[in-house]
Amino acid sequence: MSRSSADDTDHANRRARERQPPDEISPSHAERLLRDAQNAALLGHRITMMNIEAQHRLAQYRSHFDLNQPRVPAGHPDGGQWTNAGGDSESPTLSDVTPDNDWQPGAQYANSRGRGLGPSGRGSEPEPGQAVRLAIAEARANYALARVREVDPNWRPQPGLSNSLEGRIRDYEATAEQAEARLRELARFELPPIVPRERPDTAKERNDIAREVAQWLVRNRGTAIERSKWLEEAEASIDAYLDPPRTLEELRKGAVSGSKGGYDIHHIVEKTAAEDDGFPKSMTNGPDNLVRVPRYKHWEITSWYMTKNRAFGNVPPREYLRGKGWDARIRVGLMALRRHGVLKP
Amino acid sequence: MNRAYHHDMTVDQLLDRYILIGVDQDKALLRSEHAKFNRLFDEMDAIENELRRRDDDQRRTLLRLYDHPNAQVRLNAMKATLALAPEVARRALEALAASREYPQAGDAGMTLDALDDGIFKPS
Repeated sequence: MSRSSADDTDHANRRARERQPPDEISPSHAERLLRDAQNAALLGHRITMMNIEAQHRLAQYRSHFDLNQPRVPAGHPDGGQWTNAGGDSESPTLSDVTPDNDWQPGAQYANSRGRGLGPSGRGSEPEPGQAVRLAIAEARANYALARVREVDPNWRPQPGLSNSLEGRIRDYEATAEQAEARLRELARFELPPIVPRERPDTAKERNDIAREVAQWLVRNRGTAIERSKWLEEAEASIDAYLDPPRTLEELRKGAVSGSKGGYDIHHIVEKTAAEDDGFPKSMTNGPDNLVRVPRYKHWEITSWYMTKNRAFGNVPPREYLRGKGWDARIRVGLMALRRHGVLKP
Repeated sequence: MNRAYHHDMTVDQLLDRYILIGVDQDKALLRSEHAKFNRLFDEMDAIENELRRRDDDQRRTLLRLYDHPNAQVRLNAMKATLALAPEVARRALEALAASREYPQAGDAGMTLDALDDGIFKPS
């Protein structure tokens, strides 16, 4: 179906709704929609704020970091710790860094004597540069852990069990990498699309917004979204987009039973391109070639056929299929339905 | 796209442009702007060729886009690096195909099918 015919269908659906008022949204449903939208917005804001805060801390930490800063000699109870004794009295020690809250870079390092640093521990005295790398690795792990736990307090990295200093550096680096990977997962959470309160003037604008809403809902597993009143006219199409995949028999049965709001009749082998190549209408419009699919899925698959594709010789798949037989077209058509989540694997 | 346009750009500049192309392609798909998508594809192709032409085939730098938040950027990078890192790229495509990030999930799946059918031979 072309966009204009799809718009016609939308228009027909809208008129049908005008005759039959849309269901009222219940207060509890409305409350849930609002709460979810607010939570999503808050989460995004928190991630942004944490990032800013972490950058600030990192800058602060680095600004006080001095590779030449002396350490307390081995044998002393504080052996291995940074000190300003004998040095520039204005140079702050690592443990002097006072961030905005109680988070302290290097705090675990300062308390880690019993884990093996220096003569009182199980490990050997750190070599020049080793303690610096340990502090950096630990700081990186602490930053990443703190950021993850702001959002996901129960998240835990795989524990590191190394006793040697090099092993502990690797453990911290591994912890940081795990936490950073988790943070990337969390950061992928998208804010819901912005839905204007006023109904956009053109069908194209309305369709673009409704499709964005539908895609967001699928990606976020049906999490509710705050809707504007006008969006109700696209409700059938949005709901249809959330359909689970169906069997080929079910999809064909749908086509036989006729049109339905939010759905389009889709040709598994593209109709016009096949007819241009000489295939008869009895095949292109035959019951085996027709399925009823969610309208926005239909548009996605049509877009896929019409856009250049590295995997299909750098031409649109529609062009790639020119001159090909019916079986090749059916095969691609079914793959497209399956891969776009319409047809059950 | 004129080859000279990309010739003087650094690898990082090419990557920045590559990302913008993917983001714009994503928007074009949402809006069913197929001609625009295809124009962007041609420029993306030119950038990939420019990266390939550089010492040590700099298309490998596209591997760092596998983590990009935009699914179209990731998808483009995965397809472009299939010849250089086939196993890594395939695993990434499989993950995208299994995700709910449509329409890119659909295209990623079709890319895997095209690979398995011998339609797509990355070079």
